[in-house]
Amino acid sequence: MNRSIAPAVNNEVQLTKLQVEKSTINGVEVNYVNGGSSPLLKLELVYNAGSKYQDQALVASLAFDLLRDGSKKLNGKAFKEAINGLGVYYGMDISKDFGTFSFYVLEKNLEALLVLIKDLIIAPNLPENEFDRLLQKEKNNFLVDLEKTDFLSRQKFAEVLFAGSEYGRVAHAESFDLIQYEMSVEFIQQHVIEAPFDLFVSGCISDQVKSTLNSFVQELPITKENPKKVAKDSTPQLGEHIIKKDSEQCSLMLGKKMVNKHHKDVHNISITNTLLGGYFGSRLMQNIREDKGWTYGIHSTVLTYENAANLVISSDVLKDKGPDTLNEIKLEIEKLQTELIKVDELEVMKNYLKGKLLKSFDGAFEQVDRFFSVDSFGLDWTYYDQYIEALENITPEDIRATATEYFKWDEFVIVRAGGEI
Amino acid sequence: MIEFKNYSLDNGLRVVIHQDESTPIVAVNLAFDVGARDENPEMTGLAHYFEHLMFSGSKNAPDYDVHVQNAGGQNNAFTSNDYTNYYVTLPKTNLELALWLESDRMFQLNLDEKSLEVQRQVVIEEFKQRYLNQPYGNNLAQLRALTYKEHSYKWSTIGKEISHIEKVTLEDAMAFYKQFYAPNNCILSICGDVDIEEVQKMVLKWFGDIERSTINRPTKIVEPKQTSERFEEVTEDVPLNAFLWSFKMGSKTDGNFAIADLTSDLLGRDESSFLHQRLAVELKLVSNISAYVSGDRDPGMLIVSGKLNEDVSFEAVEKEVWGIINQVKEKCVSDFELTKVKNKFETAHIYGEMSVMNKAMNLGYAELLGDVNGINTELSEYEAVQVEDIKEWAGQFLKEENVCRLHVKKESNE
Repeated sequence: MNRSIAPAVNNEVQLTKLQVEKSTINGVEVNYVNGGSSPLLKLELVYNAGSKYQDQALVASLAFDLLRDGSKKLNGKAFKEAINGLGVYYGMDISKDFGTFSFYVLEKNLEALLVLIKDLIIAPNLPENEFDRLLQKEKNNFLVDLEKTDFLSRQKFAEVLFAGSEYGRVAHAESFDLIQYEMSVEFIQQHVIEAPFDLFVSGCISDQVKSTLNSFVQELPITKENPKKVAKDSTPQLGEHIIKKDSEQCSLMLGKKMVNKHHKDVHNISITNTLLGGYFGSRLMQNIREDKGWTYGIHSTVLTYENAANLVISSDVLKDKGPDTLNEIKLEIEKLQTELIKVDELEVMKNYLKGKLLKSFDGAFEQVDRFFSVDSFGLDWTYYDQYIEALENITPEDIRATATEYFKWDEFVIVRAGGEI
Repeated sequence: MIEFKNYSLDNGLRVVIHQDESTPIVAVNLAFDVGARDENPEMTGLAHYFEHLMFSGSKNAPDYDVHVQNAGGQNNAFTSNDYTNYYVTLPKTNLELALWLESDRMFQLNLDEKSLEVQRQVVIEEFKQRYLNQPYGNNLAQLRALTYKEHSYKWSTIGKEISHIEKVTLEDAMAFYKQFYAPNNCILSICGDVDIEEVQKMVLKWFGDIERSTINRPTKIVEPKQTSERFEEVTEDVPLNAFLWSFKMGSKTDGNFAIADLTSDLLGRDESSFLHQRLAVELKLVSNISAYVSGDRDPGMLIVSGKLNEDVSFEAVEKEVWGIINQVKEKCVSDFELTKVKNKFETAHIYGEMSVMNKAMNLGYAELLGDVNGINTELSEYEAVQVEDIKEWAGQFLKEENVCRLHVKKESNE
């Protein structure tokens, strides 16, 4: 045996995409992603009820928090005991675009869970004293968050990048005085009660499970339309924004607007971003962490929303290294725009991304997430075929061209919070 | 039920292989029997710092990460007080590459001043990012120090202080490596769509000729029995007062762990728990409250913690916490309540068996605890717990002379 010769590596990737059974029942779009043999199912009810639908900060998140109190029939402690008693793990969360109920439930407890869900979405309890408690809790969490430089940079970043858009609306201290109970109740009435939703079910879905779920959906009173809202376009406040705070580290968050998933260059942008800061071997991670030791981690990500997309680079660095790190990020981007990537580096990254893609399709729960992230944009599985094709074909010249066109430094908004100013 | 093949090589490497035909991904996990509890009290944080150094590359694979990436893999590691765990997932066709990489860094790691210095800085930034630059970030470490007077659990894995990490030399790191990163101190577990016999051959090929080490752990220190309540108050720049309690309890393997775990779930796992219902919802004394067990190889802690609402006194909160605890000690919980927390455990347990990475990790950890089959008996151990067991366990451990209380007081504005 000779240790100096590495075992051969095979980089062919065969993606097995599960068949998604899609139908519309009673105005509800039902999606079944069927695979595996575990008795655990994942259910997600996705509503057009994200934070972009609210008129002021906190309305949507508190509304969904309030739904945790259960229905008129079974509420408060009784509801929480009932749902936890079924061993269910659940979340009631909002993103910028969607309000989502998610449930992990053993198949044997599905029917009992559906009874609870049905009452919840037809006639939620929504008590005012619980709203007051949740508001107090949120306010306390907010006070804690205000002490964190990464939170401060994230808030400011959203505001300056999405200036003028619903996507840029974040909570401030005064938001907690302006919000009223009735606003969250109205939000639920408008966007959840008797409103249509998209249902995503994943796991081992037997015919029995399917028929149970189909009748559940069929019997719901769905009387509203609840159309999608288009968030306003934003005008980013370019340049650097500084938040002063005495802290052990300096939090950086910077980025710019990007094109959305329908754009022809979206895959090349994603690949170029990976090279910049999307994995451990990325230019930024190798430079700022592995070479200079200024941070525990630095990451670059492309985020896509229904009506916007953006690049975001973030890191917490040594408190006196904020400006130097920004300068290094700028230099790394310039390098991408001027120098061609070496074939070896490109090959490694391509192989990494192929393996990552394969893993991100491992199992029905993973696949439903992949499916949702295209389906919610009106796309389908072919999006991933196109991604693989882009991955196979992208050249050093393509990466340079993509960096030049989409990573322009003068289009960046930059936030620096804490550390030495 | 997870079926597996387990055996040892002549050099002491313990191997566990599990076949899962449903996935294109294979997971390789290495659990080394060394953690913060094995550290010298003057050089705490070394086990975790060394975990970073394990990515410095080895003689034949000078860049570990690039090899993993090139094989389409993802890898990471963590250090706890009890052990250090490395894992990699990759397309199943590339399993042997992972075995080659892992064996090479167990056999002949590259350690040099450059990586020692860079990772020293990275670890110090991690210390700041996760503990010092976060409100309440250091409170668990303070609770540890209050709870353990002698046992090495008194410091956390990141280390007692930054100065300890600052003074580690290349020789210190090398000596640590030589002693603890040897086959006889490691459990290798592999899960995926693999042929078990073929894997056995590969494991022998790459790991078979690595030599054993002689391991001299510091003499095991048994934490002396606590005989009276301990209390400490710290004042910090935080927006809300907070409290953290620890009750000393048994170890992960003392036979009562399932009871302890379910008791903590009843007290404060989720929003239907006793503490949350009483203190957060009914009385509105706290904005959040939770209870959990640390789950350690040596006797560990049941921790109760929460943040106080404004204008609420510590006394008012703690009186109610005792009220709930005393209720659990005096009167059996209902069958429904116990079944509820068992059901939640069952869901989490089944979820945990859905990925090869989790399974490889769990198999390695179970073997580390002394019985790899523990992953198959765990569920029935929880199932067997009776309401009387909870009452009895609570009576034995959740008492005043067994508690350490930490108050985190916010600085006054004056």
